[in-house]
Amino acid sequence: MQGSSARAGQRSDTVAAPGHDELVDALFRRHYSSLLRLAVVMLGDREAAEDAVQDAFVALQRNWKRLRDPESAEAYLRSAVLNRCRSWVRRQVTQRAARPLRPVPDPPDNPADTTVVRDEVGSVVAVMRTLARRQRDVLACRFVLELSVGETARLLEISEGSVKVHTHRGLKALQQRIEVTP
Amino acid sequence: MTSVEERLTRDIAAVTEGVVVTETDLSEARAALDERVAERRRSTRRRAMVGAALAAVVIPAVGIATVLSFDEGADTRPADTPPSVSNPYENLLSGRTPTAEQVEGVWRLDNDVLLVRFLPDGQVWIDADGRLFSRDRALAGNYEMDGDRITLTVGQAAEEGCAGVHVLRASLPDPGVMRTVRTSPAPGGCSLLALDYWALEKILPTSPLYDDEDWRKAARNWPALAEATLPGIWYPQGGGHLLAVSSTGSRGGYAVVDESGEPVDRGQWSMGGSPARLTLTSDSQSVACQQGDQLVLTDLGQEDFGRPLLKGTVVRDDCQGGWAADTFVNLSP
Repeated sequence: MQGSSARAGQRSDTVAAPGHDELVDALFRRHYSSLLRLAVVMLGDREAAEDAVQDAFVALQRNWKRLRDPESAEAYLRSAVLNRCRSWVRRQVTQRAARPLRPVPDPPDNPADTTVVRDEVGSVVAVMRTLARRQRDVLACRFVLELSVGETARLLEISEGSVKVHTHRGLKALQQRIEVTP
Repeated sequence: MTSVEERLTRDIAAVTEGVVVTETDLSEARAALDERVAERRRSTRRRAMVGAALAAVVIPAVGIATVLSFDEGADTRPADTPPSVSNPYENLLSGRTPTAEQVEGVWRLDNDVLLVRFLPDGQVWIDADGRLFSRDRALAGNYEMDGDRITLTVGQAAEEGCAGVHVLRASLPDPGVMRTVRTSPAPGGCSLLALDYWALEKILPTSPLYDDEDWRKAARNWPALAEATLPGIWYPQGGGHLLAVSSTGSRGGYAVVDESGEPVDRGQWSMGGSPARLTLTSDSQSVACQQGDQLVLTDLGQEDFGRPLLKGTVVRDDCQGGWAADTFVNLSP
């Protein structure tokens, strides 16, 4: 019969293994929301958070063949998002250094900016963003991603002892900064 | 769970509950990702074709088939790294070749919070978080000079990708200014060394760049100093020293370094009272001061013109060490 598929005789009863794009698509649907929430907590800015998560998936696409196995993709994505959040924070700090120590008036805040998470007055999350980098990352892993000490250590490639130390110091610093903030 | 853990958990939930991702959001984000990946591949193909053309012009013997032989979607670096082309910033290397003595000291990166210290013993420290003089500084290594080349060998680094050898070319175009251009490949995953070009300003020993700068004129209104602003590295008006403040709530440690970059005073700081008062109390590790000596500033105010400024009135200076300024500018958080 004209038009029948040339592949009809080759149809198999077994399900074909998912291709690369399908795996990435599955990872995207499964993890995008949680990664976005992680980035929003770290950055306080949804637009910047979306960029960070997108960058992480682009990096995953680029480095797919270097992953030990597809199961490590989730850890790769989390690590990539944390790294990009770190870079974004640093860029924000350097952008505030507008001139080489010469007094220049700051530009006024843009009231139309709706990407910034504004309802955080008194929020401990806002204080968490001012902590040292490693303390910030460890607290994010423990309290946002709800990872165990061991999982946090593996993700950040530090020892479990370091995780405990940074957790303790980070919480202590939060406590003290909350107490002094009027 | 302690009360701060409970608050943190509660506040994190409040933030994350506000992050709503609809099916439409997800679909649009997925489409945006596909577009970025496609654009990246198009850009990679364009770069490879340019690289092939340059290789054919610069080194005729290199086969362009090698440059173009990579698979789409795989690691897109060519199998054989093409010959390096001139760094576009190299034409900024004007002036004199620096000597080791001229490189030694503490430098700040222009329009940045990154600080670099080249020590006389060949060590190099780099940090952008106000911890240059702390043991947990972001990067430590060694440096060697050969003509205008400075080779950094980084061992200890907080950021992945920073370890290894990095080569800079340097010049001194003006007093107090050093320009460097990186000639080694950019280290992946190392934000501290990511820039191809550095315009560095000398902070210690004090250079003529800022020794007569009057930051008091920067503003009229000086709201009360927030303690959270205090940790970091501060440059006193007039130069000559740096004040490094670490944080543990309303009190913490501090160190004062002199022109050589070595600490001359150490102790504890505290803040409080009305009007707000900052007290630096020397401890037994102080070199220049007696234990218990105090430097006290009152009527504290802060401003921000791009970097935080701190002002106060010196009401007590037991040590008379020469760093009791009434205005400080923050160099690194």
